[in-house]
Amino acid sequence: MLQRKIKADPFILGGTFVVIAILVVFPLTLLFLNSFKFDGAYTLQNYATVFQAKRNYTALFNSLKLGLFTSLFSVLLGAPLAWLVTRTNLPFAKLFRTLFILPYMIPPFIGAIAWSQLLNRRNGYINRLIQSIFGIEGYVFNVNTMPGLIWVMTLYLYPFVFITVAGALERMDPTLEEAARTCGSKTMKIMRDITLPLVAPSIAGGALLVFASSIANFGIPALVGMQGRVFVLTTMIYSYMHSGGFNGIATASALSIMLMVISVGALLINNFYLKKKQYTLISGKSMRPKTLDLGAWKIPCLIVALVVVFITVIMPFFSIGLTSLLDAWGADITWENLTFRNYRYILFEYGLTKDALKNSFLLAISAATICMVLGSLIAYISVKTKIRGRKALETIAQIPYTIPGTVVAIAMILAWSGNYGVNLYNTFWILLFAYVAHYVAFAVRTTSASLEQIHTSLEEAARISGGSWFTSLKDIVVPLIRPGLVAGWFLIFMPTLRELTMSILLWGPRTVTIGVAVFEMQEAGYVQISAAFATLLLLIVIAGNLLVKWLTRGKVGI
Amino acid sequence: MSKVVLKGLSKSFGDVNVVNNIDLEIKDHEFLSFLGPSGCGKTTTLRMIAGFDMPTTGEIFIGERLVSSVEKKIFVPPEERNVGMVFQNYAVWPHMDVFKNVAYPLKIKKTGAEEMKERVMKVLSMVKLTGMEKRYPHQLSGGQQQRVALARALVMEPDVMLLDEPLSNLDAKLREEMRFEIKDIQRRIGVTIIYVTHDQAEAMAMSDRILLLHNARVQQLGTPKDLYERPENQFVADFIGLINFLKIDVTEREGRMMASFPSSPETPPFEVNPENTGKSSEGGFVFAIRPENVKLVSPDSSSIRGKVTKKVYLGNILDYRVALGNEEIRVEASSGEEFELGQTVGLRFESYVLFK
Repeated sequence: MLQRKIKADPFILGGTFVVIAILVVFPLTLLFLNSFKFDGAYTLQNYATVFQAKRNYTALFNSLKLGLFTSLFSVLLGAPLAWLVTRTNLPFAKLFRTLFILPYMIPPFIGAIAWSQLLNRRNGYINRLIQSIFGIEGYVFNVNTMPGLIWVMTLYLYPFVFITVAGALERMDPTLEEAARTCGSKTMKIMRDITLPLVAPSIAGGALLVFASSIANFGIPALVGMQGRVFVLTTMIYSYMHSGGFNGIATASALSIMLMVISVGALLINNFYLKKKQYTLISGKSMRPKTLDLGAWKIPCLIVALVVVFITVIMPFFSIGLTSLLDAWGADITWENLTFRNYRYILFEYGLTKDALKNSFLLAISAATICMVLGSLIAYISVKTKIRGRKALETIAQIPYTIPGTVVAIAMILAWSGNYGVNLYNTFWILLFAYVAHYVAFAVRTTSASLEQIHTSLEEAARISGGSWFTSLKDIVVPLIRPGLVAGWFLIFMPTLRELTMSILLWGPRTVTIGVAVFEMQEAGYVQISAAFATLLLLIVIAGNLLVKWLTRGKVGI
Repeated sequence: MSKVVLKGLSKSFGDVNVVNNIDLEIKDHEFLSFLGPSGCGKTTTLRMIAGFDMPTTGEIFIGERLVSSVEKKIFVPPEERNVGMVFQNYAVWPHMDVFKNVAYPLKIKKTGAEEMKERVMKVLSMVKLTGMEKRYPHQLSGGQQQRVALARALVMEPDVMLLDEPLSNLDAKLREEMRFEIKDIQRRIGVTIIYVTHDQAEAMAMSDRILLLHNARVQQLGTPKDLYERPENQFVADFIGLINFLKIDVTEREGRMMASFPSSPETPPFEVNPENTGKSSEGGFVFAIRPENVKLVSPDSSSIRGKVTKKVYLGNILDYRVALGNEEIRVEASSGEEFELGQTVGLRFESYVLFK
C-alpha cells in the first residue's frame, strides 16, 4: 500500500523535498558558512571583528537587556491579568479577555510609531500635555531610550504571557484546588501551594516566547531606538547592511548567527524542557473553575483593567488616528488644523504608498497561497505517509519561523544575489522566497493538525472505490481539511501583508511594501502621512481579523 | 467520626432543580451510597456536603455542627468542615511527590515533622503504598494515584469521607479489588463514608444503605437487599438488577385477588398476594418479577403456559425468553429441567411486586 502511494506520485512528493532544500537548507547553510568566511578563507575572523568593536557587543548586551526586561514586565503584567480574567468575578471579564489580546494584532512598528508620537521628547502628545498642565519647559518622557524601548516592547508582547497563562488557568482541573480546600487550605494558601506551581511552567513558557520575539523584533528598536542611538542586534545588522561593503555583510552574518543562537536557544528551552513540565491539567469532567469573589477589590481591579486597555489600545489608536488627520505636525490641535488631505494623498497621489499597497497585497496573496500548497504537502507527507525523512522534512520546514526574520533575510541575500548564478536581489521574487520560507511553518502546523483528525481509512476507502492518490486527495482530504486551509491562509496573509523585518533588508526601488513605506515615511519625518498609512493598515488588519473569525466561526482570530 | 444530617436540602440552577428537598440522616460509621443515573443530583448533593456548592434551601449538619443553613445564613467553607474527599479524577497534585501529597493536610494544620511522618507512613501502609513516598504522580498507575488520593483524605482523620465516583476511571479488575479495600479500610477505622456512584453493583457490594436518586428526587432509601427485593417504585426496580414488567388487570373474586394478563387472554386468571396491591386493590397494575423468580416447569404443573422463543447458555445459568401472549418474559434458570426452543412450558411466579 505504501509503495503504491510513493510510486503514484513521486514527482509531487519528491518535489516538496527539493523545494524545501532550495528555500531553506541552501540559504541557511550559506549563512552559516559565510559567517566564517573572511578573505576567501574559513576563519573565526568575523566573530573576532564582532567582538573588537564596542558598538557590537553593546548591541548584543542591549538585545539581552531588552529581552530580559521585556519578559519580566510581560510576566508582571500578563500573569495577573490572566488570573483576573479567568478566575475572578471581574466585570466584563470576557470582553477584557479579547481586549488584552488586541495589542498582539497591532503590527509592532505601528505601536512604535504611536508611542513615538505620544512620548517623543520634542513634541510628544503626553509631554505637551504635561507641559501645558504644569507650565514647565522641557520634556518629562523620552521614548528614544532603553526604558522607552522596553515600555513599547512590553505593551505589544505581553499578550504572549497573557494567552499562555490564561489558557493554563482555564484548562486546570478545578478539583486540584478543591482537594487542597478539603485539606484545610485557604484561598491565598491554595494559590501559593497549588495554583502558582502548576502554572509556573506556562508563565516561563510565555516569558521565553516574549524573550525570543523581543530580540528578533526589528520595527520597535528601529523606530524607537535608532533615533536615540540605542542599537540592538537586529538594528545593528540593518545598519551594517545599509552601510554596505563586502565586510559589512560578513559582520552582519556573524551577528545574525549570534542573534539566531540566542533566540533559537530560548525557543528550544521552551520546546524541550518546559513543554515536558507542563502538567496535564485537563480534567475529565467539564467543570469550570470556581471564580473568586473580589468583594471590595472589584472596583479597583476594574479600574486597573480599564487603565491597561486605555494605555495599550485606546491611546495608541487615538494618537495615530489624530496624527493622521493633522495638517501640520507639532502645531496646536484645532479644527483648522484637521484635514483628510493625508488620506487622499496616500491613496491617490503618492506613488510610494500606491506601489506599497499593490506590492504587499500581491506578495501576501502569493506567499499565503504558495505556503498553503507547500505546507499541506509537507504536512501530508509527515502525517499520512511513511516516506523516509518525513519528520526531518517537517522539522526543517519549521526552522525558518523560529529564526529571526532579519537572519532569514540575510541568508536570502547571500543565496540569491548572483553569487550562485541566480540574481534575485531587488526583485519581487526574493521577497516572496523569504516570506514563503519564514511562514510555511504556519501552513504545516495548521494543516497537520487537521490531517491528524482524518482517519487513513477514509482515504483508503476512496482508493478501494477506484480513485487514484490524487483524486482521493482532491475529493476526500482537501474538502475535509478546508476550514484548516482557510484559517492557515489568513494566518499567513495577515502578517505578510504588514511584514517589515525581512522586507526592510530585501526591498528594492520597485518592490516597496506597506511596512517599508510606513517605516521610510516615518524616518523621513513625514509623520502625518505615515500615520494615515498606518491607520489604513490597522483598518485592513482589523477587517481581516473579523473576516477570519467569521470564516472559521470564531476558531481563529481574536 | 460523625453522622451527617441533611434537612430539606435543595439546589437549583436557575429554573432547573438538580436536588429536590432531600431529608437524610447518615449514621456514624455508616457506608452510604448515593446511587443514580448521571444528572440525578448525586454529585451536587455530595458537593453541598463538602461545601463546594451552596444549597438553595435546607440545612446540613456534620456531627452536631450546623455547617450550612440558608435560613440561618450559615455557611462553613470547605476548608473548615474537616471532611476528606476523593475525586473521580484523583486530583493528585502533579508537582508534589506521594509523601508531600499525603502530608499536605497535616502541613496546613502545622503538625510536627515527627508526627507527620508517622501518620503519613501509617496511611500509606493502609493503602499499600509503602515505599512509594518519593514517586511523583506521573510515575504512578491510575490505581496507585487513586490510593494516594484516598490516603490524603484519610490522613486528616476526617469526620466524614466523601468519595465521588472514585473507581470509575479504573479498569474492571482493579475496580473490584479497590471496592474490597475501601470497604476494608472503612471497617477498620470506622469512618463515615458517603459514596457517589452510578454503578449499582458497586453500591450493592459496599454500602450499608443506598440512597437511590432520579430526577433530583429520592426514589428509595434502604439496604441493598431492600432495594433489590422490595423496590418502592418501577424506577428502582428497573435500575437495580434485571426485571420483567408485565401489564396485569386485578379483580376481586370471592375475597381473592385474581390477576389476568391483557396481552394473553388465553392465560387463566391467577391469584396475587393482596399485600402487594395496596389499598386500591382492583384495576390495572404493573407486574414486576425478576428473571430468577420465574420458574419453568412442565406444562402440566402450571395453568400459566408460554412458549420458549430464545435460549442462551451462559455457564452458570440458562437465559430463556418465554412468550406469554404478546409479551416476552426473561427467565434465568440455574437448575431444574431443561427446555428446548419452541417447547411449551409452564411458569411459576415465586416473588414479585405490583406497581400501580
